[in-house]
Amino acid sequence: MISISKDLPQNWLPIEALQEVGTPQEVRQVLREAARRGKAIYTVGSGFRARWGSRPEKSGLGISCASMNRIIDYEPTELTLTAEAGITVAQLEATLSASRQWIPGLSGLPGEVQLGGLLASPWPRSRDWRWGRLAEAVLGLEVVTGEGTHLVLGGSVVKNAAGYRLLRLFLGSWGSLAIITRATLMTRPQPEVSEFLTVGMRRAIFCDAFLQPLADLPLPCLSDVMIFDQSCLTDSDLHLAEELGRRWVGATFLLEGDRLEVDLAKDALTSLAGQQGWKVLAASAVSDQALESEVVAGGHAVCEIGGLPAQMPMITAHIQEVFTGARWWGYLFSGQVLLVDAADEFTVEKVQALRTKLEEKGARVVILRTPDGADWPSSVVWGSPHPRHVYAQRWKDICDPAHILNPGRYIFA
Amino acid sequence: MPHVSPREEALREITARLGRENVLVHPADRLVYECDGYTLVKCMPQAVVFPRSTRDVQQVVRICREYRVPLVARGAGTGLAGGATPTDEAIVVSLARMNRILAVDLVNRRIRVEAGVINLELSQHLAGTGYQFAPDPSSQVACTLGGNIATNAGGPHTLKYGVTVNHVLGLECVTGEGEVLELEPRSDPGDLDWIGVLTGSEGTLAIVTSAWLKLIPAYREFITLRGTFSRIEDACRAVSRIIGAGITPAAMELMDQGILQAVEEAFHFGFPTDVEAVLIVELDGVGPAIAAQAEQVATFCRECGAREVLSASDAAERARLWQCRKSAVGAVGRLSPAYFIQDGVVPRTKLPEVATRVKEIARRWNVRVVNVAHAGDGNIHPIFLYDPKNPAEVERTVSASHEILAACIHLGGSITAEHGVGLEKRDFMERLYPPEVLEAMRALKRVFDPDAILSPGKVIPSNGEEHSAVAKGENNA
Repeated sequence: MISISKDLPQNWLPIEALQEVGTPQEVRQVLREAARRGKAIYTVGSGFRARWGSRPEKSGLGISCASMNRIIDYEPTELTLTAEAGITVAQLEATLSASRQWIPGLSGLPGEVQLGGLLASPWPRSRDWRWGRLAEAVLGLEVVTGEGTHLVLGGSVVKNAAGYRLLRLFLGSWGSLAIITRATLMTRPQPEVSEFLTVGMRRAIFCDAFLQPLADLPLPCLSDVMIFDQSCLTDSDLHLAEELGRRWVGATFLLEGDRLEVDLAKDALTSLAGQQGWKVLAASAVSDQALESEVVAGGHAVCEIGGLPAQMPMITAHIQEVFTGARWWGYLFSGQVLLVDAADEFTVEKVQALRTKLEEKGARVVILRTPDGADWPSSVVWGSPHPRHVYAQRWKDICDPAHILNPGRYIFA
Repeated sequence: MPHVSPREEALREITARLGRENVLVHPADRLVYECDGYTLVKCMPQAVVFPRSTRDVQQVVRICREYRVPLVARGAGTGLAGGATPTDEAIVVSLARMNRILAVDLVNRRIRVEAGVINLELSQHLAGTGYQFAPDPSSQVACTLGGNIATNAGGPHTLKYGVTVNHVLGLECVTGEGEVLELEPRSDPGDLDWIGVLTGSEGTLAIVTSAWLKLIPAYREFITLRGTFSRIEDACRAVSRIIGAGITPAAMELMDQGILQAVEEAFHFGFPTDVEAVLIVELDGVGPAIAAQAEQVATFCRECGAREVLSASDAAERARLWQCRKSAVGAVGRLSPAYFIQDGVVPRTKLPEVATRVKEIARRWNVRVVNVAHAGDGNIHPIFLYDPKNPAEVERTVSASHEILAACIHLGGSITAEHGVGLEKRDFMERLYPPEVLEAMRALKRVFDPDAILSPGKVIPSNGEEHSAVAKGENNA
């Protein structure tokens, strides 16, 4: 079935027509034909990331896997689930919750988001450090490469050391090497409780008086610590800012495990807060899900910064210096920061200024979503290529020799 | 002037670079490097070299590439699939002398190590910090972290915490082109997941020289149970019951009657030797919470037919129990002049079926097999006892082990969970994967090692078109 989409941002994703595909064989046929004709292919999932990445190079065909949305196999005792790429988070969570299981990387996402898109172009999330990025839960993957080869990779066992783990090269490659059609994921028993504890502190003590005491208190049930400032507060939360004064930083501890273990961890952290002069805040103060909705909803420019936990004070200080009005939050242990801006002040010059400051200290800056109306070159969006980019380019040439998949949107020239 | 072959020329240049003290050429010195823990195939290396730095490794690779001499990276030689076997007179690059812990960074929850650091030394180094590096292969007293990364090693405690790839944050390695590849320990959506694919590539894409590893907080409280079962299938069923109830033990290990006898003889722990299996279940967490889980586990074991379920009475008994489990394979030496350990994996609900198949296959081939298993992962380790001086028995043993691997594939599993493919299972890859997947793996090999000088002939079966350095090297010589 071929139809013109009315919903996609036509000025950005230059899609001439949208084709629904129902099987890997259909995907293969479409890609082979496109490769033969040199026609660009853009994968379209739930649509919110249609505006992500650098500007597409040429017009082409959109492919939607939305109708490939079945759960193929789910055996709770095996802790594995196999599903097609078009399945939504809502479908997956409904299935898993019936067995009191979850996939941590999916938790808290909007229900309409599709699995294939999440695997192809993820973004930092609060459970990445402890539970692993979503890619780490993938045991098996089926893809169709740009040259139209259907690859069935990995398997459905939790440990498999047979050959190269090729699937890891397709996950997170933004659909530029292959189109994901099916995945087998490792599921886990849901923790008994998942709770937050939020503290605030003066920015001046955010560095050593926060990081070192936290390192000295290893808590297995502490999944990560979300770092934020007043830019993340809604109007109703503004009393927090008043409580904390002008220059402060907030930290929300995400605690997951048995009731007793989480309670003990909360006690330990509350005690540490007292010793260190951190102020314990109402638990409901800031939710990363609410912030994340801005990433998902679109309309904002989104920047991702990767560094080390100890660099978090430096990274956030530079963000505040360059983007005075932007909203940012970070995940301490995974060293990832998201910067979201309403685009008014999100300019190439500012991005480059931030990049210069951060990259000379070893952090990495990429733009996930450019501002509406902007037409930034790939080098601004993704930064300068790594020395190792040559390997990525070789792999691209093998998987997608005609360069029909997502041309221009990811790191490949 | 006497003719000098390219191989000799390469070795001369390597020796000049590394110094004579870091190169072994005498046959008696090289003998121990003929094989790793997979002893069925032995090949004498041309030389063994000991780089001290990434720069040294780079130089060695570049020289070998120039002269088309194959090379094989080696850690402690504890691999069990022949990954470090120097076929075609390869030069062995031993990382054993690159054994420094370079940085312990608890604030950033990571540690930087050279490839030759021994796994257990890392654990000892972290003792008292409250942090741990989770992968703990049974060979951890000897195996190196570089080898762990090369094979994506597992171990008993990876049931809850994952295998090596889940704990590698950054890598420094040298590709087959002699380029140093630095994969920093930070998130970067603007790059492909090279760490995910290089980990477990068995030194055929690049030689890992150092790594940033993830440290996770360690629990201080444990309950370690052991259930005894009259039927091994019942122990396997208990595994699924426990997992199905939403309990994720830190480890769930199975030992069968044969191995229990060997362990008892070696350690006198007090295991019953008249049962078919013992299931060890370790729970970690906070006292009362894991005590409640332990009660559930014990109930499940009894419901599945356990004769008795006992708990380690104290830390010393727990330590002895783990010593028995981790030394179990070595204890097999008391039963037979030689043995080799197989590594297969099935979906965990298929464990009872594969346990029955292993018994049936051993009986039919008239070979002796004892079993240990990381049962929680569906990872079986049948250990074959044989007399190397009896060729017929060796042949039957190999056939039986291959049939078990075929059974694993048939049951939806794989031919290796944690030992890797190496030399031993290379030809099984064609049974596990379709041609297009193998071709994609060959293509990836060419991305990093276009002249096929890194461990040629390992992991992926040849498609007959490869221009491997082995052939070129022989021609040159």
